[in-house]
Amino acid sequence: MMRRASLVVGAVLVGLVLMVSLVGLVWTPYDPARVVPGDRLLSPSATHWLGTDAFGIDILSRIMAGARSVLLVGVFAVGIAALVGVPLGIVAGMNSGWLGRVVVRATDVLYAFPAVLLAILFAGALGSSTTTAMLAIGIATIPVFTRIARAGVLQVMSQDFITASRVSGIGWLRIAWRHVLPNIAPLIGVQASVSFALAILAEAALSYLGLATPPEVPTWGRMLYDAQRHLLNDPHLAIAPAVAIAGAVLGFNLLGDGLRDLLDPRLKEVAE
Amino acid sequence: MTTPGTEGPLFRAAGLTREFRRDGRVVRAVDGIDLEVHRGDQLGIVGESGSGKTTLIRLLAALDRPTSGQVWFNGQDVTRASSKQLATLRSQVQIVFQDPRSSLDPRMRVGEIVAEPLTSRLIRRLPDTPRDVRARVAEVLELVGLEPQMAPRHPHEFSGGQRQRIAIARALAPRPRVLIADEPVSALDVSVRAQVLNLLTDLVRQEDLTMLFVSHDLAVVRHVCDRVAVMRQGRIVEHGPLQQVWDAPSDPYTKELLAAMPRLAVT
Amino acid sequence: MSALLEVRDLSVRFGRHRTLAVDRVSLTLDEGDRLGLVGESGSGKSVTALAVLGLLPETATVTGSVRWQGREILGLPDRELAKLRGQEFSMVFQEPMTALDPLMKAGRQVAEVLGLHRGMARGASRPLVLEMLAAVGLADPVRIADSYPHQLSGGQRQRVLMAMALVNRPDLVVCDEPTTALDVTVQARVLATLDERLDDAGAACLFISHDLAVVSQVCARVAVLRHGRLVEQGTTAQVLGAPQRPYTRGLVAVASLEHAEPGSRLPLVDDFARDGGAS
Repeated sequence: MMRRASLVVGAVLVGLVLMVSLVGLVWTPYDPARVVPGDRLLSPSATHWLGTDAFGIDILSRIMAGARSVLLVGVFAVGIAALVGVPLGIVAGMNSGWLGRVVVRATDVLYAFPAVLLAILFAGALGSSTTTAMLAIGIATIPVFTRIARAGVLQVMSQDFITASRVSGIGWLRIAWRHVLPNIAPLIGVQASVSFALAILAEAALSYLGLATPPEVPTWGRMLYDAQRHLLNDPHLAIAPAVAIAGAVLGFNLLGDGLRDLLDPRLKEVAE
Repeated sequence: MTTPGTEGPLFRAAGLTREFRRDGRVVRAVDGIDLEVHRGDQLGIVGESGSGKTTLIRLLAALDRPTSGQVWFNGQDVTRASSKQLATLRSQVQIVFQDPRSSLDPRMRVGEIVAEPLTSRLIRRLPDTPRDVRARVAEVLELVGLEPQMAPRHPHEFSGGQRQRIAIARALAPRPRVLIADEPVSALDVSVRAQVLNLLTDLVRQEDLTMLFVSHDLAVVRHVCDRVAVMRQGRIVEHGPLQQVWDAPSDPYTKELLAAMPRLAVT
Repeated sequence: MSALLEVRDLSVRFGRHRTLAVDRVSLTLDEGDRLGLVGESGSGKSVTALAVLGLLPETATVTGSVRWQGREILGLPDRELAKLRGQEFSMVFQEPMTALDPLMKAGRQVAEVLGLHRGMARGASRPLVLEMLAAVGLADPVRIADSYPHQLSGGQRQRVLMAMALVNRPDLVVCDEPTTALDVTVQARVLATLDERLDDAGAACLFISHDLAVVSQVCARVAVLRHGRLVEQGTTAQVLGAPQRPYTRGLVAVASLEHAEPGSRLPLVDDFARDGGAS
């Protein structure tokens, strides 16, 4: 079954990224920051599985160390986006008065700002750092969550169980917490997974542009940037981070798809 | 109860009108309705979809505010009441909806669903509200013919008829005086319909309930109600004791409703 | 001469658990015949109809025989079945809102069925479409044809579906609870129209419903299904007037609400047939 397959493959890929970054915290084959001039641009070998880069740094070590900032940016960016975006979406979906309309308009405005533009603004104010990347990607992703949450909320609000709660005088906050949130949670989970993949891409792009993480900290996007000068003679420099990015993005996307199918109650109803 | 207006009608509506704006046009879903419901009444509200019957009960239950006109519950004007002032109405009026797939939260357990009215801040404070939530849930589940052991299960594990029983149990939990049933058997198989109708007639007697029963099917209403109001295009076109309307309908629309009832054509 | 439709020992299983949804059901329909398939939800009546039309998902295993005008059509490739569907047999669904494409005007949806099976250009089909919409009792066919499904009432939508099912003058129309979602008054009018149009076309009809009363108004013969099995079959008068099986007696009893004493305890199917357990 296709559904199961995407869930399993996604989970395995995501698990791999998670494991590599965790291991990378405590152990890497070589120091991912130590420049060894004698080992410049070595091809993959038994001692350096993925070769070394222009500074003589072991690429596998850099990939492992870089996984950490990928996850960090992903978790915080998606966290910011979901924690701000979902409540806004719930307000917009449950309130048909001026408050709801203001949220919808504000979301539309924020949607017009791409992450890169925000990152340039933040980099100007805060300097280029991982924090800048997290903030920029996170804030740029808020409207995505607001919209998806609002769409879900509107669907839930049309159900009779909401009216049944109102008949008993259950307050709006409780309805939001007890009925609306649990019912849109699968939707949010799927979106989080997809947004995570996009955040990884965005982080790579921002690092590549020099707007995110400073050069000495290893990230996959930065490695790709550094690799382009040697693309013709030493393509292995680009292949490792490119495969890592593609794998992580694919993993989170597949996981999102798999979750969507797994959590869709309508599919459950049919299977029952 | 020593609230003012115990002598008067339970519900009184005067000049009740509700307009909606649809595609720039103003539609009058409810158009100047006057209505009284007394304690112990079993009132059927009959009409086809779009006749305004659901809007009417939403106005009576203070889930919606009228464009003009007023609703009194127990002598209290509920059209201008704050949500706190509605506490009595909220505890005494409960609704059973048409489609239990939509009226039961699929992510909640049956026990939580049935307990919900009891956990409402408005209702909890009232003296008549059952204190022991768990015991009350078990009690009402048994009342509607379900096992209390079913409480930890989810709605989708039940058949359509059982789900409607769960919805009825939830409505009974806070010991309401009024049960509003909005097409409670229209989404059910004919064979399940009889079970739910039997349950409703039993409950009305046992619990001494006042019932508003909304339906498009006059035969169903005849079985459970003693009075009927026939609605068409937001107005009540005929209103009276059921047997009288059944035997000698005066409005042409009521006659059409009677003629349209599916009967077993045993020839 | 062979029957129009002959179903023999039809069984349907679903999925890995191999639960039997339909269990050795046999039915026969002659030309112009109207058979009501009655049962509670889960009795397998819709699955039977879908199996006959070859519309079941691939997870279903269908065995037995379905002969259309003497020719075995069970296991026919979908391309050939598609040719038969809409032309020689068609279907009216229960939920007109989901059976119609929300983004396509009603007239075009009827025209599409015409075009699909008669290769008619859209312009050329317009008069025929309007004629068909009028024939199913829609008072203002031009306006209806130019409306989207959400702009129509439930009854109008069901009539549009009926027009789609009848426009190619099929020999068999399968109706799956076509009026269950409708009000009684609308139901009565839609049934009357269906009755007329079937008569006009001389089409046979397989009418599925949980409501014996509705079936009795349209069909000359009735087959009762329970737990996927055929319980009883016969003319409507036989089955309603002198039901042989307890379960059928129960169904007859619950269907005649207007004869019950108001407020009295209504008879239940279980009062008659306790075998087989709850569904």
